[in-house]
Amino acid sequence: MRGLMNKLVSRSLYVAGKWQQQQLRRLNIHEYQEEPKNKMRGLMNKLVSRSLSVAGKWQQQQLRRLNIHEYQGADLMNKYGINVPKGVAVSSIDEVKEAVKSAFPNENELVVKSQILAGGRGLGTFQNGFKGGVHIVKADQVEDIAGKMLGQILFTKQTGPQGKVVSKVYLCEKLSLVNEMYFAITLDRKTAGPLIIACSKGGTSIEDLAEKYPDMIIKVPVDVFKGITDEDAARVVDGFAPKVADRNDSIEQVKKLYKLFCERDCTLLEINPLAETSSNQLVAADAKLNFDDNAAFRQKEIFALRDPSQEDPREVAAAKADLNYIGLDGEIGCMVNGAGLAMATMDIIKLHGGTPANFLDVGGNASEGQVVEAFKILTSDDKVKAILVNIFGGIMKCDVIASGIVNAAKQVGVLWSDFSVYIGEQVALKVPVVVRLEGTNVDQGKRILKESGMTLITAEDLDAAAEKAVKAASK
Amino acid sequence: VGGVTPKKGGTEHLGLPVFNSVAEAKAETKANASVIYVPPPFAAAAIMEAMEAELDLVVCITEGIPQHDMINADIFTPQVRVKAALNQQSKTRLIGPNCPGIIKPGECKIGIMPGYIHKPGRVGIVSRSGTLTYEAVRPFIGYLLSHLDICVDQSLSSIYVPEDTSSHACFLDLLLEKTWGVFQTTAVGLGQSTCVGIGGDPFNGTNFVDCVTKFLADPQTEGIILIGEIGGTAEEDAAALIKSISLSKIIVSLNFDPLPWLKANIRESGTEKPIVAFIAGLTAPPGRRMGHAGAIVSGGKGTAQDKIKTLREAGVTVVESPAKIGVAMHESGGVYAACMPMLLLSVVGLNCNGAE
Repeated sequence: MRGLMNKLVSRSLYVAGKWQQQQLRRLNIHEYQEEPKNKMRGLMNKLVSRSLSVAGKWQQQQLRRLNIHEYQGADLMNKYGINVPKGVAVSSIDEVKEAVKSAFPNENELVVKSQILAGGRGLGTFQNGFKGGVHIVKADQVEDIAGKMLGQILFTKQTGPQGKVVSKVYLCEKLSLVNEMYFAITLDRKTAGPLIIACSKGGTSIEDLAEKYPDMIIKVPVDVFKGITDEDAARVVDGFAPKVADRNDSIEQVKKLYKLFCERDCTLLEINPLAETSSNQLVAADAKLNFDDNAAFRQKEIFALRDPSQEDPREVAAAKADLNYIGLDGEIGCMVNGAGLAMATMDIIKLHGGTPANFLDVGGNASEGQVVEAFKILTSDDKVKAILVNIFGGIMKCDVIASGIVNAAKQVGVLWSDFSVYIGEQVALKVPVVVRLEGTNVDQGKRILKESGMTLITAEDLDAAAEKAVKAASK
Repeated sequence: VGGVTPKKGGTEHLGLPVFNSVAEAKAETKANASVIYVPPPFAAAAIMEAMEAELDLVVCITEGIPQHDMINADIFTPQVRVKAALNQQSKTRLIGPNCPGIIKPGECKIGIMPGYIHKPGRVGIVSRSGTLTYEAVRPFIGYLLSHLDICVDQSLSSIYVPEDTSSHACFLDLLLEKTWGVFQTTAVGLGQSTCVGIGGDPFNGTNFVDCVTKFLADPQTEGIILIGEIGGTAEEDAAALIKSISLSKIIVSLNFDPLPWLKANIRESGTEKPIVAFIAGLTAPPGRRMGHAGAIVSGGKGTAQDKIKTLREAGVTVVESPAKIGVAMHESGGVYAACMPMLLLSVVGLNCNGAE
């Protein structure tokens, strides 16, 4: 009966698992607009992260779900009829010329912004020495400045030491903003529904404001049976209280933002500042959009906007293999089944004085091929000095993991008895591997590892395994 | 019930009948519980169907249900508003989604956890993570094994040792068969009364608060284990509940000399039952989703540090490693004298409002 039950369960989970493996995307969206002055850039970064703490208070949700570029976010909002500053994304000097001529014939000044998926652009430096990833320039200087950015690597505080390549530059109209307000929509865990948040004061001090004057933050939960009503939208508008923009127009803008939020499976939509221009228009001057990874199967258009050139190559490789992987910068590579156990494994490594190199949940449905890929990613990480495989198989079978490790070792090369193995172009990596197997088919798994002749360090429980891994890494 | 799959009604699976809909299955068999393995695009609708059929218990294993589906997916699937619908009724309890299920060792299992590592006992476990729970369950076996020398000496003249002693579980089975009485009298009995996986999603049907409430009222449960992780406020909500229960229990005891009663009944948690917790994700970087949709530190909120602190303030013993959970549970059987003065002070200054 147990055998039958196991089969039934594992087959059902294969079905569920096929879909489970889909959502390994992480997509994020840029801030939308910022003053190109360096100081402002730093402030904007602070304000974005702080505003998210305001939104975050009501819905502790994902900062990084879908990462899409600023110009893509603006384009999306524009499609929904939401007012955004006018902008054109360009990838070459010719396109720059064309854009200035056709889209901005009458502008004296334009904002030129590097499109990378990291913050801190204003204060960043390019590989060619040019300073600042965001500039306000006179129309006749746009070509020159854009030329210094396109195709270059930009280093900011958030890009990491390798920087990020600027494939596109966003040319925007320079707006004079009269009033800055705050607007956000989140999915609130407490009310288990959409929550709209508005504040009449946006900008950098939103977090301080939320602390000192919580009454200035207006929260409007939306009844999911009714959808957003005119009354709801009106309360929101009165909440951020535009000074000059037309009230009815503003109500319509709120409804459009809500529509985008729902139709595109957003987990967070934050506009800070939601501004009024000198021409009495309400405009989303800076936006952060997060999308639900779980909805990738029905948001193909959105998830197609993902730019892998901006991501950690280890994570790109992992996503290709449908592995749930997050790269960190420690020394002990981890392979675990189950997200909670994977996090606990990282915690316990730290407790024993080591540093985890990554988070990796192979899940209950990992195939041998995926285990091989996972092992390859871990061993290709230069920083990794030891690998810890911690498997407590319920649905996951220990023999599948064991076969995967053995096959990966054959392809990648690990220390094999007393010999270093050279395979193809890959130099043997003398990375000690600590394996702890428990649960379904544990005996078969252990036998496979024993018979492979691989030099492995085994452990019986998680504490011992972590301790051994830390010791192995420090040698 | 062999299964519910539209268009497969009338066929058989594992010798049991398959039905086209949950309502049909319920009408024919009087089934009152359901487990859902439906893939994410349709899982929320499956939950709605089970609710509409008024089943008592629905366990949804599926990982990857879009969050909007749990909230309001009317745009994508008509009438799917799982959380709102759940809140409007009281017939159906949902466990999950994205959970391993629920098990009462020796009696019933609805889910995917390996049954053999569980043993009937007196500790209630509620967890957001599947495999991490197994890790917490397993040390009970290890802990029991560490007591084996004493038990064996006292009661056995011969011991059966299987050839492959790496398989702890089966060794333990054999040993338990022969020494069950000894284990019981040594009062180890650290098996589980009920083990509930509430899952890793931010919007779910059952949370820590629900389970803690039930465990506190369950006579079979003498200790409670919480296994949490980063993201959300479920652990903090549980801490608030535990704290409030402690206070109301003290008020109740005022009509007689409280000290002996406290000594006899109050464990460190301030409730009658010791509560031990482990929170995963101390080392998780902020802003990254750590596997589970609900496991993310956002805007500085939902950190493991905050949760650990809040739980400790409520009198919960929070351990640093899942391997230490079993030990902590066993050791927390006593009374912590240090807590008593604090509890008495709270009584004196307290404004009684709504205490039972």
